[in-house]
Amino acid sequence: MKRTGLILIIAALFSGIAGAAKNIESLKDITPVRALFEEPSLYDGQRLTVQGEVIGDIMRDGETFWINIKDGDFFIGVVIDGFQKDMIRYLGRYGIRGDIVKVSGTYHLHCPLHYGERDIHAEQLEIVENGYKMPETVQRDRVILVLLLGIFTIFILPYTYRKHIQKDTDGLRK
Amino acid sequence: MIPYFSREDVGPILHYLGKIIQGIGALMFIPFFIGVLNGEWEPSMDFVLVSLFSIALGSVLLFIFREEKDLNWRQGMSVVTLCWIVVMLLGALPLYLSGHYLSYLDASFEAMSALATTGLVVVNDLDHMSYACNFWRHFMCFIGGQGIILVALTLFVRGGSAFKVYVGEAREERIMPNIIQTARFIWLVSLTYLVIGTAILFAINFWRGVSAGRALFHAICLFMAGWDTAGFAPQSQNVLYYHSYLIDLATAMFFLLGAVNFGVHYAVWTGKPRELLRNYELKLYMASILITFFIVCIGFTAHLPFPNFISFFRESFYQLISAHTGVGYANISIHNFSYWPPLAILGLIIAMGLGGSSTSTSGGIKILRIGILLKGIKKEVKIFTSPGATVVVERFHHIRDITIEDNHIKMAAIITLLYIALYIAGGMIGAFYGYPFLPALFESVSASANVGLSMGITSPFMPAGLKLTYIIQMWMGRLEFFSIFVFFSFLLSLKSSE
Amino acid sequence: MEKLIKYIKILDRWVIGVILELIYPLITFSAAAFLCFFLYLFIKR
Repeated sequence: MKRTGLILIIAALFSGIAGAAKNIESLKDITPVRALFEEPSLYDGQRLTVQGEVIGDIMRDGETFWINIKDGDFFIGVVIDGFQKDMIRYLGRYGIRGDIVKVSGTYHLHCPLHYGERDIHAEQLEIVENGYKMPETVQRDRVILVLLLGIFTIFILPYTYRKHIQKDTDGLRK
Repeated sequence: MIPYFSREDVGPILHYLGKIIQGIGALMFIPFFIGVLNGEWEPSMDFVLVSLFSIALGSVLLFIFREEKDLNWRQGMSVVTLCWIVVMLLGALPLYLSGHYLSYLDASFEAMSALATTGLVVVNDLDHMSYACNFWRHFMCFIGGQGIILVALTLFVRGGSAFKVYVGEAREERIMPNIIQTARFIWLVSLTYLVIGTAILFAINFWRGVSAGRALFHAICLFMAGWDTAGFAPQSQNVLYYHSYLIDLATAMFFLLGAVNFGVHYAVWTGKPRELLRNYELKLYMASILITFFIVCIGFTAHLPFPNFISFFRESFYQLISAHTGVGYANISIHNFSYWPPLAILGLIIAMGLGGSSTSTSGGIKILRIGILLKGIKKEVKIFTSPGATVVVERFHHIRDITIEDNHIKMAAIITLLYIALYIAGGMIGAFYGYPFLPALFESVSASANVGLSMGITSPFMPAGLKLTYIIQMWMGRLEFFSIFVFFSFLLSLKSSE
Repeated sequence: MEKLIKYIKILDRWVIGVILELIYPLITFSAAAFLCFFLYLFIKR
């Protein structure tokens, strides 16, 4: 009887630990942002992890900050704190691939704190891949085309304002 | 069978077109400078290339077609119709060269969407687009909204021809006696609000920690697209990007103002503020906003996904206002519509279909026409219920006191029917391509009424036939049909004269 | 001097016009907010 009890307690402890481990594990599982939009109510209020490129600007909102994460064709707003904000170096825009971040936190479909916004309140933020500047290459044939067109335009422009033939509505010369 | 047009008309039409093409080429220097300022060499090169091409093309046309003939109204309308297509094709070139569009058709779609101040987008990876190119997208909204033709009016055209071209532009009212003055007044109002609107939006963004340059860029772009009820935004997420109820509020104010008749602005700004209280269209507009909003809200009786009043109001009202003024800004993701009940969506469709005020930057049937029809119904009911010899007179105040005539009712009814036909036709074509009917109808009305809200059908991966359908709908909706009919009769007359 | 007064009058009307115009969106918002609030209470009931 005592032995059964002990086995049961040990089993309960293990499943408890396993459950907690699963919780940490599931936070390590990355939820595609797409899923948040395709199953709106399923993830509401859940703690999850997303990953994507930080794009645009970091915008202050009281004591916290907003960033936008791009995961393929889907985007989500993430609320971060000052410490997490300082970790981000590259913001995605023209010529720059932003930092790829992994964010873990609670997802809200209609956040009551943020006037109904869809957001994730970040508990953990990790830089997975640093951003970088993308080099620009100006194509040579376009430069040549510009020069040719430029010459042609300079040549023809004076002729466009040679005296126009003025006519009235009936086509008679004025 | 088709009179009025002859081969001789081709020359003057192409002459004016040449001037407009040159003008567009000149305007492209602005994004060029923005590109250079930001060290964006590739886009700058694209803009200077297309700019020179446009100026050269316009110059060639002016060189060949030297006749500057006073346009009659049919020729004027043909210039306008042709203009939209040509400017769309030119405006699409730098977009296509940027690499953010899958095809030239996509770039043309986006250009037409901008010029017709619609706001439906098929762009790829907007968040990595250059400032130059992004500016050009929003600038095309401003150009289109202020009327390509008004640009031409203020810069090139003299006296007589101006009126005909203006009417083709679907702005019927002559606010001030001199057409050039009307155009300049429209510019004055727009520039005043440009300064105020940009300042407010800049202040909000800058205060939130966005760098000054970017805050200014966002402010100008949002204003140009908002005031002209276009609905483009500098980032993929549209207004949702900012996550700010202040930005929502500021943008909503400006697009409400942009949807007001320019004649009302003129009256209020020249010492007749009582026009705000007396104007029939404005009062009807406010009533319509509240009625369609009621439909949207009541639609949520079926299923209310919002945890509190604020989130309910913010989501439902912003979308409704965006729909009714014809802007198309969204502070929600398109995927949110998946939990909007059908009646709420229908409320949006009705709001989009009705549109904004006449002689404003919005699209749709226009409230004044609805008002005329309502007065017409009232008049007919009175006639039926009154003794035989009674003379029934219905009037309303719109800038001046107007007595309803059968002619007004006839025109209002015809245009309303044409819009409804266009909405349904587009919806049917969407359904033909396999999309569910309500979203297809939504998208069709959004395109025809130049709104720009989307339930997700519009994308780069949409069938080409549907892209073409929406381009045509945006074009027809913006020009309010008649100039297009005139233009096609012109083309047919050319053929029959062979 | 007369011209200056004339310009000030025009500017004055202009400024008043803008301010008055900004009132109309505010009225629309307020009316809509009331409507929404009552409907929200009705739906939640």
